[in-house]
Amino acid sequence: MSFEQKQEWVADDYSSEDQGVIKPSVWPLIAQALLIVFSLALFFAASIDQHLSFGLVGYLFTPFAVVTLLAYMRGQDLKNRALSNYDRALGRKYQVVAGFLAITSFIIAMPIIWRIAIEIAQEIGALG
Amino acid sequence: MRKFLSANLVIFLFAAPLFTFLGISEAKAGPLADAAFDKLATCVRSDDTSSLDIYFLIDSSASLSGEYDGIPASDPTDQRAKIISASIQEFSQLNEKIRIQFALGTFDKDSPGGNGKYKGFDWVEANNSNVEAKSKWALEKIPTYDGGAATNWLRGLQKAQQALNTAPRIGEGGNACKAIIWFTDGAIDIKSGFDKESDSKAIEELCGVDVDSNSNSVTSGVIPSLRRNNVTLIGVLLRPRTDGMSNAKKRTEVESRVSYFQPIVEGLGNVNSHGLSGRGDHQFSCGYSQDPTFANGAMLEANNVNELAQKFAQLFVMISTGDLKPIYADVFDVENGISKVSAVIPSSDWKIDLPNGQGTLTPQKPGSAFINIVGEVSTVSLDVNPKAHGTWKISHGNSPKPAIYFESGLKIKLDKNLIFEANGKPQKFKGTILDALGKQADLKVYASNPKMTVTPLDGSGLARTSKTSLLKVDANGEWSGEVLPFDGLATSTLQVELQVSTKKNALPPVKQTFTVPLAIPGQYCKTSDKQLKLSDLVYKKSPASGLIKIKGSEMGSCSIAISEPQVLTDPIGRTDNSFKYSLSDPSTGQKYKFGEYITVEQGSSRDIKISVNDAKRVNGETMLRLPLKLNAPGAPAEIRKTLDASFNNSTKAGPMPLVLLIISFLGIAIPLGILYFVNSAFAKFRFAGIRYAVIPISAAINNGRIEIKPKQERSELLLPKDFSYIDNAESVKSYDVFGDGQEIARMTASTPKNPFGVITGSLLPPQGSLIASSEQASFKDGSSAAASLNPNKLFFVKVSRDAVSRVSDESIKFDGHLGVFLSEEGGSFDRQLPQLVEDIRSASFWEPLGTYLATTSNTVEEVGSSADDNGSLQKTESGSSSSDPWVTGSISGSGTVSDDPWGISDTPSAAPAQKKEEKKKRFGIGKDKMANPKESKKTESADSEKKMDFDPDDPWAV
Repeated sequence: MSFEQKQEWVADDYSSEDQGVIKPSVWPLIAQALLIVFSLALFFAASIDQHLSFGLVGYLFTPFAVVTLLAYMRGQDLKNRALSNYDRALGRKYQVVAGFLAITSFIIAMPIIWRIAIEIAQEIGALG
Repeated sequence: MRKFLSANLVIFLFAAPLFTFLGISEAKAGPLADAAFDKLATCVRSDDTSSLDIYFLIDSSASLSGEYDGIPASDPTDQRAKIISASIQEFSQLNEKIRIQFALGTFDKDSPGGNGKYKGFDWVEANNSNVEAKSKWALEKIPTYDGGAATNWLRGLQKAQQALNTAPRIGEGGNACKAIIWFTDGAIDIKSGFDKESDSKAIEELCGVDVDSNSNSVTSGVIPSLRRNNVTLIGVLLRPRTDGMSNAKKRTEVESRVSYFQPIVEGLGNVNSHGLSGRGDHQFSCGYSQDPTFANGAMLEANNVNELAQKFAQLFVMISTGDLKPIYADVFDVENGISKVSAVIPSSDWKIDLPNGQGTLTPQKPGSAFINIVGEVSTVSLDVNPKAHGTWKISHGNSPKPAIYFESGLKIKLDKNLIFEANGKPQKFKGTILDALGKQADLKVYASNPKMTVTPLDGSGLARTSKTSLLKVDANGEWSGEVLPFDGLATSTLQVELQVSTKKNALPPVKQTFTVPLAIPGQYCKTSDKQLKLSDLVYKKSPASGLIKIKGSEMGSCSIAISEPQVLTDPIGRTDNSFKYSLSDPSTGQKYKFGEYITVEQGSSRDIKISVNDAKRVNGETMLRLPLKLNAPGAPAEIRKTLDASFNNSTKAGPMPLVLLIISFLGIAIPLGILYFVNSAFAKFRFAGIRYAVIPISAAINNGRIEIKPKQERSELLLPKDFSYIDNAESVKSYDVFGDGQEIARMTASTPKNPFGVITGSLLPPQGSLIASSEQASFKDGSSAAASLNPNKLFFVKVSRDAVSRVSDESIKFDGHLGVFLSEEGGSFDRQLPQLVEDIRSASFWEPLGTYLATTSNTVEEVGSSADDNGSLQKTESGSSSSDPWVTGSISGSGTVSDDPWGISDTPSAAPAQKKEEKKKRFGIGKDKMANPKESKKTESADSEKKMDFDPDDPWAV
């Protein structure tokens, strides 16, 4: 008996078309995307009086909530890898997308943080 | 064609005939519109007016170009752009007499509209070059400004108010007449969706009263502030057609909002607040005041674009003439006393026959007339000399009758050195009337006795009633009379009106306003008349403050009382009560109450510090008016005066760059740090439920093909009994894998330095060994291999460098250990193992591993191996044995291994090239197949069937 060498074929590339394949949850990705959209909307919708309050909510959304979801997805992926019919390839793809969304959330967070920083700096400045 | 210059303003005359020409009835302006245009025209004609500032506020909402909720697009062909462009062109004529400045802004959801993309232009003087450029700009840009969401009247008007406050002032003195020409086609809609709360709140901010109020009191707000500052608001409404709306609720919402347009523009109007948060139909007042110094507004309602064009044109006629009662005739008499005749002819082909042999005017031969032809509408203006008195005849084909405007050209003059005394008594004053040539007028030429009146205007904001008095006017152009000016002001504003008529024609009244200084009598305290500039009101940091300098009387002690300030303008429409005010003596710190008399001794002076504070975050300028009461022992009466003050609102609390940088750094660093620590917490191997096996193996790589087999005789490569539990290591950062009495590998989980990086585990081989695993994307040098943190189904091979033997240039053999991890959660091992074995033998690392070993290891030449040693190899420095199945199978193509536990058979060898082809055919080797793992998997069963017909080079082939 001999075994044929298969290039590019890795052990955990199970087809998601297989019956009973457990796919990773997609809702955390959707939630991440929605949080980014909400955060952007808050940023642009805030009037000058709402810069701090809306900014803090936006900051909780991006990056904190988005990063929390990334961590959640990583934990779930690790846990599910114990299952023989878990779609690891799809799980890896989701991890990549979640990571990209987390980076996006940090980019969006920068103007939010800057706005919050200005607000807080002004409040501190006003005390002096 | 010569530009016609006159002592009077050049009249833009094309609107009314245009209405007739288009066959549309005369525009219906709101009931208060005439008063608005009258005031604006009077302002423009006044001697002390230096400029007219016109701000175009243009709606840039999407409903202009597209249907919205069943309402057809209000301006799909962008007629408004043509109207604005043509109007701007007319400015250059008016700029001959008075400096015209104009600017343009847009609004929809915010201002500028289009999320800030629909930028207008800043103030420019209406000289020829600017007019030409901006007219062209309007034609090009306005049609593209129609994609905005929502219709935020509040933001648009606030921006217009700010813009008017920043209009440039040329030189000292002189007033500016101000107007906002506000184009909109819809209802107020702050958040695009008719949100009741936000729309009601916006109306409240605009008018200073809630949408249900029927109060007529003037409070603070954007609109009252505009009126108080004499800004004429001209609203041009292209009323949305709600009759096409199927949704009754939506229809009510739209109609309710549209109903507020008239009171917002004109001050008063009937509204229905059903569609807002209100109680229904009622009259609504928005900053309306009978105070003659307050500006009025004019609503021009248009149901279609043609109507809009007419009404917008009408606007300029009203501004320039102050009267809109032309006669419509093609034969008319021009009498003595008329200095100028203007005609608007709804035709581009016409002829005017002048009397007494003065000739004929045509578009081709205009003579000394000013002619302007726009489309099919011609405007003709001509100074009248005595020879032209008589009957004029205009031939214009079949077009409707032209509109004829007469002007007397009279001008009222007042002594510029006149000063009134603020003593509560009527003040005498006099002046002359000049004719169009600047000479004292002969009023005998007019049919009836000229009538002249004076009306004092109260600019204090106290809405005191004006009383009109008759003035005595002589036929030789001299006049005189008395007037009781309003007190409480630094100046007294008077409106003087002269009415004359000829035998056959009533001429428009000549209205002019004059500002006369009001002198405080010597026994009273004095303050500066100049506006008091307070320091900035910095949000939460410092109030606005300034010193009111009071000079005592030389005739004895005097006293002054300062009342609570009134807000004239504010960027966010704050009211008088929005601020906290205080008065104090800056030297002693003593506090004063508002309205309390403060005594100033004879010949001395005092400073009173006023402070203004508010906790709202605002940027922009606020203007206040301080009512003052002056009194003195023995003085006839208390007199009132006002002092204007202004301050800038600022949200900048001063430079705090360090705090700003620290907070910004922490803002980024904290979540990044948390992400790093989360990664660190996850960087552990999860061994719960995992079992592992280490199997000694022998492998041969021949012409890129791999054959592996256990070193010990057994039925399968992996058996359930091979797997052991991992004790006391459910979650660890590193783990040493032992098997076959030695350390096989060390597993290490590492936290990536990049917080966004993927957490990985790695497998490290003992010294002198190489390692490859199922998790790595590509094999490099075997110094480490990737390992998943949940190692279920992870397998790897460790090869000692000295356990490699070269069989030929294309064939090597090596001994090693195969490590395998498998989870119990995946089901029984009996079921999982066959698939896992398949995975192992098809793993991608075998070929690169073999290649690497062949090129880098200190391999020895194979001297032979027996078939019954199950693949164990003997090494010598040189030589080979043809009886070795690995060698004979791959190199010589002969020999068999009948006792191979996996049952290998041999077949005669073929030529190398032929064999290669044969292999491809038999095993389907190729990148195409490997590129698609799914495809590969689908064909696996077929491959398995073919495995019985194996390559003859395979040493274990049957």
